[in-house]
Amino acid sequence: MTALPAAPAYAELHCLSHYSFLRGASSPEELVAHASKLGYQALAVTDECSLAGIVRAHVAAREHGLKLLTGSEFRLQDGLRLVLLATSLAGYRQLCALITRARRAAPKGAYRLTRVDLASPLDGCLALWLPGAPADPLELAFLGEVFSGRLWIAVELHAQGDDRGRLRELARLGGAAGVPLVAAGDVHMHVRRRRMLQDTLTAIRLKRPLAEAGFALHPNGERHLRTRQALARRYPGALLAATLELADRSDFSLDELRYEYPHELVPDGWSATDWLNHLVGEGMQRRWPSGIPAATARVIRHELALIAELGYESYFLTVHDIVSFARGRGILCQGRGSAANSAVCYCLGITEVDPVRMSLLFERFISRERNEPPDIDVDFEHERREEVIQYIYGKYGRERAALAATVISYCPRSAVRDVGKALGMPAEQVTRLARAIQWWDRDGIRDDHLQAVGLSRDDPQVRRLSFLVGELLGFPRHLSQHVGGFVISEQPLHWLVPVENAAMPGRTVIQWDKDDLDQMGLLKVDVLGLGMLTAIRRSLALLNGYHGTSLALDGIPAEDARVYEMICRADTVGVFQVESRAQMAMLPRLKPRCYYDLVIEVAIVRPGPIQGEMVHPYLRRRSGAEPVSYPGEALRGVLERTLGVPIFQEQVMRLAMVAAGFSAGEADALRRAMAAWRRRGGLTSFADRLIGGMRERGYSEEFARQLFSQIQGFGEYGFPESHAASFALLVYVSAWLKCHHPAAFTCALLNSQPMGFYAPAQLVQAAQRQGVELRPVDVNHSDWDCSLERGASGPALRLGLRMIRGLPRQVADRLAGVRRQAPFASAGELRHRAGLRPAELELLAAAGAVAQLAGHRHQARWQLSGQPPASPLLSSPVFAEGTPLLSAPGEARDIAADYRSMGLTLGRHPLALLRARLAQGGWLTAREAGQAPAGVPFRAAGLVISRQRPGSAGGVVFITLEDETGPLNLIVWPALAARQRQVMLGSRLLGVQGRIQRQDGVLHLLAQRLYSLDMLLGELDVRSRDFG
Amino acid sequence: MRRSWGNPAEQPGSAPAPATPAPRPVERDRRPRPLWFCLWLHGEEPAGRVLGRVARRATRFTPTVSLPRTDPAVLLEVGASLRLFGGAGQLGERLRALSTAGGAWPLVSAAPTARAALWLARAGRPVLASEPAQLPGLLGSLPVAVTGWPAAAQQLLAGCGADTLGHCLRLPRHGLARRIGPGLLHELDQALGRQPYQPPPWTPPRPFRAIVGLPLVTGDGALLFKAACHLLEQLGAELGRRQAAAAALHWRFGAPADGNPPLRIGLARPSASPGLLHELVRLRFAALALASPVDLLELVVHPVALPGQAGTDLLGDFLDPPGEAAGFLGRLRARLGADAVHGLGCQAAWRPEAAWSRQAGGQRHAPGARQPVWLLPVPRRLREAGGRPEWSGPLELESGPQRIETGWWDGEPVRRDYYAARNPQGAGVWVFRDLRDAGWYLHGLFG
Repeated sequence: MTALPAAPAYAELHCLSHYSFLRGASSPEELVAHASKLGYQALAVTDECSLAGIVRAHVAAREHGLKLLTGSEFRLQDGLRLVLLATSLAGYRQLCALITRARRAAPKGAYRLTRVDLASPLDGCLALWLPGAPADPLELAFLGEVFSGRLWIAVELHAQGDDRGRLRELARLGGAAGVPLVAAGDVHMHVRRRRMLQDTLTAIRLKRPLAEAGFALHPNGERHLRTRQALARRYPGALLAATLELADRSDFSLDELRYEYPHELVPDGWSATDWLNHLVGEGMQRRWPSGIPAATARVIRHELALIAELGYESYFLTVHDIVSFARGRGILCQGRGSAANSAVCYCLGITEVDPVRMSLLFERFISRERNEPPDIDVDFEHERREEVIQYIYGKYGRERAALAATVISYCPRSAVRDVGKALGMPAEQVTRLARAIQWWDRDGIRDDHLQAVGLSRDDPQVRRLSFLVGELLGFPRHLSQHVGGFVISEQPLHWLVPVENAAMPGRTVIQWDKDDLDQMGLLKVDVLGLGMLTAIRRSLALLNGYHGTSLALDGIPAEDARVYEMICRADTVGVFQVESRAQMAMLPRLKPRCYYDLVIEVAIVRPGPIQGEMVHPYLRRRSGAEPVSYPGEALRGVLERTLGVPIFQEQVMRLAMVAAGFSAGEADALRRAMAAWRRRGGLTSFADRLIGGMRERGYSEEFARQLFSQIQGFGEYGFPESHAASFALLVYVSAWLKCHHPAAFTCALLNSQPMGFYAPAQLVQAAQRQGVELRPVDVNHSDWDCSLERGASGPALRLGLRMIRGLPRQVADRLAGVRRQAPFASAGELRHRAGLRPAELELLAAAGAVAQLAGHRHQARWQLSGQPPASPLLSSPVFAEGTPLLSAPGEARDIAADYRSMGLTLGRHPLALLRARLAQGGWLTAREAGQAPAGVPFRAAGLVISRQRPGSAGGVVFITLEDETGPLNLIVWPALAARQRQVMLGSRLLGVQGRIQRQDGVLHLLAQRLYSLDMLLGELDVRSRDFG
Repeated sequence: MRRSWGNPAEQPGSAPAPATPAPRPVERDRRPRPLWFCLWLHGEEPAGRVLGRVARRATRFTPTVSLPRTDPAVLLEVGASLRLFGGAGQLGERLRALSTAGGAWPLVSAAPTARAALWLARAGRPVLASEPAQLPGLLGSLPVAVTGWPAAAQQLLAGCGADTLGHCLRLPRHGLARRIGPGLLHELDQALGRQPYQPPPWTPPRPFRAIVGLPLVTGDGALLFKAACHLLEQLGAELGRRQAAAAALHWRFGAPADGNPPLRIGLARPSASPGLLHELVRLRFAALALASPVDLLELVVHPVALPGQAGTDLLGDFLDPPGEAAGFLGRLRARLGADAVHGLGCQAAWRPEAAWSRQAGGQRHAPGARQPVWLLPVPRRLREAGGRPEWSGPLELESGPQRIETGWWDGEPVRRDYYAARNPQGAGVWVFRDLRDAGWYLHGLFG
């Protein structure tokens, strides 16, 4: 028996993580952990022209005590391949600059690098030549000149037949050129068993089935982190020892990066601290003209001191600058999230939540212990956010401002599609299976998915698919741009991180995502778009235009009883946040009567309070059915606002502090762990400390466990009070607008689509129920947007041309422009003057927009067709022809045409027409359901307007139906949902047999059997909105 | 300037089309009135096969048979044979029976025009209408969709409330023509019998068949070849006329004893080249061994489409005639038998078994294999002695290992370490150690 060779020391210098998209088959964390387990001295993560995975690797390496080298692999345009490793901070910056240059020179996802680019300063980097087969001595000669004294030949031996010959060849070349050799692994996965996934990734990258991927696949699984014994068998000792020499020459760590926020916002002669204090002082004057309460002033002083201590003044000044710009342009904006915990943000106009009205927990926003930057999210009107973004680019330049990245990862559907194709499964089969996986299926392929498309796990191909999909889930696929997270820095950004092109022209993104930024202490300001802000600004403009007033946001009367009455009735279609089915079901039970009730309302219909079983105790206490009590007198201050029941994130943090002895920073760490535990776990240590701490302080184990369960439930969805408080402001404002100015509010909502929970059809019906007069689309009256017209008893809402599906805006604008000279007298004149193309005229006719001129839709269609298009140069010939007497469309036909063209009708509800037939079938209405006693069997039918399957509901599906009498909410239990999946998901007109459930005045129909009644609908084009 | 081409007095669409000649006072036309049957076939078999079968049978009743391109239907004009088959009703029943026997469940409709019969069948109306006067009423009730007109035209008509052909007929004729185009209006006229329309006739694919009588009873291949040349000449002319090629030549040898089996000469690829065909036949006839002498020679060929017209290539005229390689292959096959000749191609694959393939035409592939050309069909397990493999003596491993771990996706995964080795006789072999069972196998021989 031969003795095992002694394990030599080794550092891996060439290793790709899965951030080399569709090449690497292991995460940086897996690579680091395994390298550490194998006893490597160091590991270089060298993703291809990317540093996207380096922060994760850095964090993992810190945890495992492994030395991490930072580098990147490149393939030049002429095929030359090399790895660069940063040896110092300067080298790191050079590497970032090189990657930035290569990425910016190519479209998103690609890079372009030539030998000329290597002439840029790279003296802080070591280079590894990755020779081809056969090795080209000219490449070596070139690199030898560029990287004199810093170049090695990477010898990568993978049992490919003639490893000895290869080693001889490279040694000869190196000897001749005076370039040393070093061992490297070209690692693509941490363990050999990832080979199947790695092959699959290759096939996906090549867009070919595996069977046709040929030599692009690696011949074997040797490109993993090999044991040091295996390496010793493969490589001469000197080459392994050389790896250590390289590793020793690099003493750069990401911890050396220093980030500074832009300084230019401070006027000459001021320090950042003084300037911030000055602005906050001005804000205090503005917010509290009659004097600031002493407690609030204390809070502000505390905050300012902490901001100064942590050096965040410039960050606040930057956000203040952005918000001031938006205000100056008349763009509505409002800070959300944890920033609303800051009185300083309130003074600076970033947030609107009055700290006097709320109990703020500043540590939720900034904590000394956390050593992480604060995160200010500001919502802007969604249609004008681009103006703000361009302002930021303009002010700081593209060198210093870029969007954060978002890593787009594989979800079950995309994984099934890609793996299925790679395995060579029939495209149609793959598509059907991918479709069978619904938006809520997050765990990969289940047996019922397979059964639905006639597949079985007995088939080895299906087993392979299932296994690989499971492996691929969550793998990053490409970098995309964060929804609005801007990173701005004092120095050029590529000193910190490479910057690359986004898909959207004119946008650039950095290679790090939000988690990376947090880790590296980079500040980010989220410039988010919020449709409701657009709708509110439009509502105000419409009603000011109509009434000649100048009402602004701050002029809206507070605490209006009529508004709360409307909210208590759940008459909230279109109202921000509280319009969803679940919120509507809660409103009559919670009965909000003041602003703070809205704060609770926003936060309580969330997985956190629901899973923590806090909802019912709160409602019982609120209704007086249960006395308000506290687990201990010390907790009264924490829980008093919510009747002794913890509902908000901040309360959980304070509970941990008061009841379990956590410091503010520790409590915040708990909060962060809560947010991430679904993905990463790691709550167990907190559980022990929390429950133990509470027991020590005399709280019952039951209460402690209940609290912990709530912490788990909060997960990613838990709502901080500050966030709910910001949102509640918008809830109130939108509800006030709906209550007092329904025409303007509905008009603004329609003009701001797509947004919110409901489709225009439901918004229009809700307005009709409120007595708003609605007028149809009409070429003589409608502009692009919906508008207000003088009506008999107040404003009437005229539908705009934007409601017509497929009609381009410029067509509508041209038509309105021509009409301003003189209205159209006939369809023929419209055709002649407006200069529209036949297809555009047909869209107008089909939408009924010409019906007034032509008599009815059929006539309009006839009159607008059959003519040559108008020519800009020649007057178009007009065929004089009589109009035949065409029959007018019937009501059903008009309604169907309305839905087809606009997705809504101003006529009767489609089901009114079917009522006689539905009644014959024993199908009752939503109104009759409202009058039925609890527990009775009931049959109802309605158009499906939404389906929801909240993660917190354990597989229950909530469906909202609608008929001519109103909406009806269904509850479909998981067993029925599984049994009748096709009917449930595929029907437009759904019949339901079930039982009436009533709880606190909220009505549900508990479904027992579902029927598709689509055949009654014919061609009616109704579409449901489905939510996860 | 405004031009007006409209006729203010224009009548709705029932007005006769301009192309229809005005009725003239001539003596009564004794020609039978046309009557079209449409057999709409539903069946489990592929529509093409059933249609061909039914169409062939339908030719018993009329020579005028047509297969619409877009429908599983057979159209046949039977006006002239109505009396012969006992009238429309009886003929309809016979046609139904004929289709049923053909393996299909037919819907039978009949009308004086081919289009009307087809549209009625598309609408699922088993109507038997023999009078032209019935057409406006019958067609008027059909939905526009039966016409199969482009979607844009159908949408436009629906938008004007014209859901049926009757609605269309009530629209102003010129206005309608401007909106849906004169072509579609023309179809409407054809359906109503106002414009003539004859659907393209169906002709059954015909084999080439020719017989030559021999001047003497003989079994001599050379003499037979001379006779065959006459037939090949005829074949060449026919193929040229049809722009077709032969994929195989079927020879039958007739009388006196009729004991000779037919001879099939297949081609490597379809060809119409007289030289190639002659050469192939000459070679095969030279080796012909008939059981008994014959006095008749018959050639049957089912022509196929000519593969790739010559002369379309920019440089084609200056290159070797493309038939040359094929001709060589054909000759080789003619000598050795079709199964004995095949081509080899390389496949880009790491698994040696998957790295080559047998190909009929011998297409060339880029070489990529790094292995001996001579591979065993199945690797052979080797004996081992002292941990070393043996093949005619202990093997000396010269280079390797080349590790191949692949093929997991098709159920034939391999995990092997390959080595080039040499036995004591100096023969170079390619062996592997299977990483799953640790056994040694011989997989190839180096030249």
